[in-house]
Amino acid sequence: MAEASERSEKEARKIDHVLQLTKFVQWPAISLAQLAPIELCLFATTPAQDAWQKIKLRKSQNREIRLRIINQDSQLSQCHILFIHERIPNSIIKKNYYLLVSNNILTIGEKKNFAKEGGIIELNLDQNKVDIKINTQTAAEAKLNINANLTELASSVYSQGHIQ
Amino acid sequence: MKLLHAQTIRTKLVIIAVTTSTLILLITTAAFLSLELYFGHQDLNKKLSVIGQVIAERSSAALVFRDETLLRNNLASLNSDSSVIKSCIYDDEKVLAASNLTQASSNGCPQMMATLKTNESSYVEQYFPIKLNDQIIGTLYIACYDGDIMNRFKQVSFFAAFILFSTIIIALLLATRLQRIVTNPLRLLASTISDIIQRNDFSIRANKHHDDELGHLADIFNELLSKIENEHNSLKSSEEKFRKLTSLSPVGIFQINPEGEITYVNQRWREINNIKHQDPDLQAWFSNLHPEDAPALNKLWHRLVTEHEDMANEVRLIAKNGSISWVYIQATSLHSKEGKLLGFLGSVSDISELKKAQIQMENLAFYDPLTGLANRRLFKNRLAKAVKSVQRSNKSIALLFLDLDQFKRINDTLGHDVGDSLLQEIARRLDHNVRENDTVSRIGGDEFTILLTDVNNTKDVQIVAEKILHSLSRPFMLNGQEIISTVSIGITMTPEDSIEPNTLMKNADLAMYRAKELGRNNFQFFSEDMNTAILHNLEIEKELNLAIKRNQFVLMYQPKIRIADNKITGVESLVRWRHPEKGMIPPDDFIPIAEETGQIIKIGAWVLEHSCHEMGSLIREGLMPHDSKVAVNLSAKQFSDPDLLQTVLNILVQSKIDPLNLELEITESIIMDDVEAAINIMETIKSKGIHLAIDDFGTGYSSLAYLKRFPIDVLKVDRSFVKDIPEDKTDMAITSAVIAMAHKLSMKVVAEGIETKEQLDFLRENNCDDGQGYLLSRPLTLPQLHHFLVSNHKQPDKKSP
Repeated sequence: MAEASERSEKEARKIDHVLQLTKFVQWPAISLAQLAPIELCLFATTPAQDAWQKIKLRKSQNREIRLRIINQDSQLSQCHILFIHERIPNSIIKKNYYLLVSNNILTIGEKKNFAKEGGIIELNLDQNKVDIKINTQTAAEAKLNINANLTELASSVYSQGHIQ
Repeated sequence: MKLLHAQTIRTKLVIIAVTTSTLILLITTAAFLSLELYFGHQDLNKKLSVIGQVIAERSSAALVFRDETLLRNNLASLNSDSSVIKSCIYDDEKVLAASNLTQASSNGCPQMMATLKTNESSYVEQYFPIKLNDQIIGTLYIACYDGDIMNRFKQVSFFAAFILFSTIIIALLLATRLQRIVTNPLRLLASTISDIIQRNDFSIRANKHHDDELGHLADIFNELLSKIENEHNSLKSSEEKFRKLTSLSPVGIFQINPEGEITYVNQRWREINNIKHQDPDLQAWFSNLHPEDAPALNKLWHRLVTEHEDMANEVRLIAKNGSISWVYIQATSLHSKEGKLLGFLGSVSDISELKKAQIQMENLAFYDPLTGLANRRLFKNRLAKAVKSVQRSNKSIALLFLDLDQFKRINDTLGHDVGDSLLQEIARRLDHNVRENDTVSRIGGDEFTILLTDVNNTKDVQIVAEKILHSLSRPFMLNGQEIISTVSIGITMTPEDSIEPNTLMKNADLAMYRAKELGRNNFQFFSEDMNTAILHNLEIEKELNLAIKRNQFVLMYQPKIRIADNKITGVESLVRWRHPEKGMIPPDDFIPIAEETGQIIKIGAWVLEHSCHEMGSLIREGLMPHDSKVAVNLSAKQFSDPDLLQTVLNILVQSKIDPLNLELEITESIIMDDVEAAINIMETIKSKGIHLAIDDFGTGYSSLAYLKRFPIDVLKVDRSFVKDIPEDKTDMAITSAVIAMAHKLSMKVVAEGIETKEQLDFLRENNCDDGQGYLLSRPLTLPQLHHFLVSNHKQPDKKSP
């Protein structure tokens, strides 16, 4: 129980941090119209989806957050944010890299080297400490503007795209 | 301020310049320091604001993700600014997220922002919101210490004080130097004025150094000097002219200062006052005044000095040798424009000669040049004075009026020189017979008056009058001829008779005429009855005026009969006054008065007119012969009336009678008044064919020499000669001689006053031509004459009516 509670709390913190991260990112207007809701996508395989449901009650940049569960790559074009759980391999980025950048999708992943391997923000919650890594190249290719404050906060900043 | 006023202009200028500079610098420095402080704080605030905003901006992500390290790093970047002493970041719940403190910080950041101590006086502090997506997610607090600003302020203040002090010193030096620009020209101007005063030279001019206000002042001062110089020169010139004029003046000029000292006299003044060289002195000058004149002059002089009243007076000056000269002194006070007394200016003229002439003039004015006696004017003055004085005493004054008897005859017969000599001798005798204080005067041709003062009674006067008559009764030896002259004296007394000088003169005149009436060579005292006679005459005069207006005169005609054949040859017209109350008034009662008043001219004309008119009628009726004559008496006034001839001719024309029918009768005395004039008048009348007759012949003083020159036709023998025929053989001899003489001179003779047959016979025997008188006919009224003429025609031998 204690472990489940700890895990749930961790999920909540994670969801909260994801939400905070969205506040430091600017999408091109073409992909996210003013006051249009932000589409947050999770792969269907992402665990603790219930916890993610609560995110719909919150706002970021004065926009509603919509949670979208996808199970096909083709659905990625509907997303503004794609959270990739640590269980999902970083290869999915590589696999859908052009799709992701062309659709201006902010990718946030938990898996180690996520940013290094083409993800835009790598989020690791260790104890109470948050560790963020950012791939500015991918963000630039996805035409996403990452707040410098966030970049400054990042423990690692990568400036190359996905690793060939 | 009083202290400042007591300073020299130089000191004042320095004080004002330094004070002004100091004040301006103080104000400027204070403003500068205030601005320095203000801008120091403002800069600090701006800097803080910029840094704070940067830090807040940079800290948003760190605050969201609670990256305290990053937050502290961000705050630590403020350490580069030494003024920042404390910085704190609080999260959206105002809980401290990170802080950064310096050593200078006395206390740290509290855990809760609410407990943060702010508004410390020495701090400059600001709060900055930390925003994310326009939402405040935290607060940054930064506090700075303003010590740097204050240090800088102190440094600047010190520097400003130094500048201020240096500037004051420079201002002092400059003011000391610059004040000379103003004071030097003023000092030079003052020096010029001193020179002018000391050298009394108004030609000196001030130098002009600059074209500024002081230069303008020098110009104005020089203009003023030019004016003063001109006026000074003009004054000197006037004074020079004054000196020259006074030196040439025939009048003595003197000038006296307000202290009463003589400051100037001209040469003429010295000559008049006989002061040659010594300095003139007012007191010494006045001491030469005649004692009688000194009080009046001193009084006038006192008024001049005290009241500044102009004075002028005639006084006598006594010279050292005792000679007296008359001078005329005039003086006036001199004043400045402001009315201040400058002194006195006067003149002295020597009027001795003028006085002498004046005395001569007075002598001429008051004395008779022929006899040296007082003249009428002086006599009247003395009479007036005497009358006034007599009223204050118990004494009387007698006024004697003397008129020489028959003086005119003497003058005419012996000549004016003899007449004048006689007057001089008479004057001498008169003067000899009165006392020294009595006045003898000659008031007219042969009229003298004597004023006897201090008379006790009429007896005194009578004695003097008798003495005078006696004195003049002695014959006068003039030009080898013995002449006897007498006087008639009228006497009046004051205050008994009158106290009015004119009345007294009139009284004496009346009394004198009474003396004449009483046979001359006597004296008469005035009495009231003389006045009564005068009043009577005045009444007659008034009534005569009415009589002329109301035609109260009537004519009577006394026929003239030719003695040889008792035929009428004419009538003498005689006027009567038919008075409405007094009845018929004879001519002797009114003709003399009419003669005196001049009324005789009108009465005479009336008589002449009516006589001619009525004679004309009688001749035309044939009652009077064609050659008969109406004789009309002419009075002296009528005879001398220049209109007489014209009046007569007019009447002849109007009455339509021939001039031959008119005979004008003139008395001997009328002719003898002025023989030559009378002959002229008579010849003029005669030239018109009018006959002339001498009336009352024998009573006057006609000389045969004159008689033969008179153009006379008829000589009427006065009744006084006829009256005593045949008793008075002398009268008979005179009458016969007159008749013979008249016939020799181709004159007819008419005898008047024939009353007896003896008289008529005598006259007839002596070939007297005509006669008139009661024996022949009384004076007749016109109707009576008419009747007489008719009867006469019928009874030509009738001898009386």
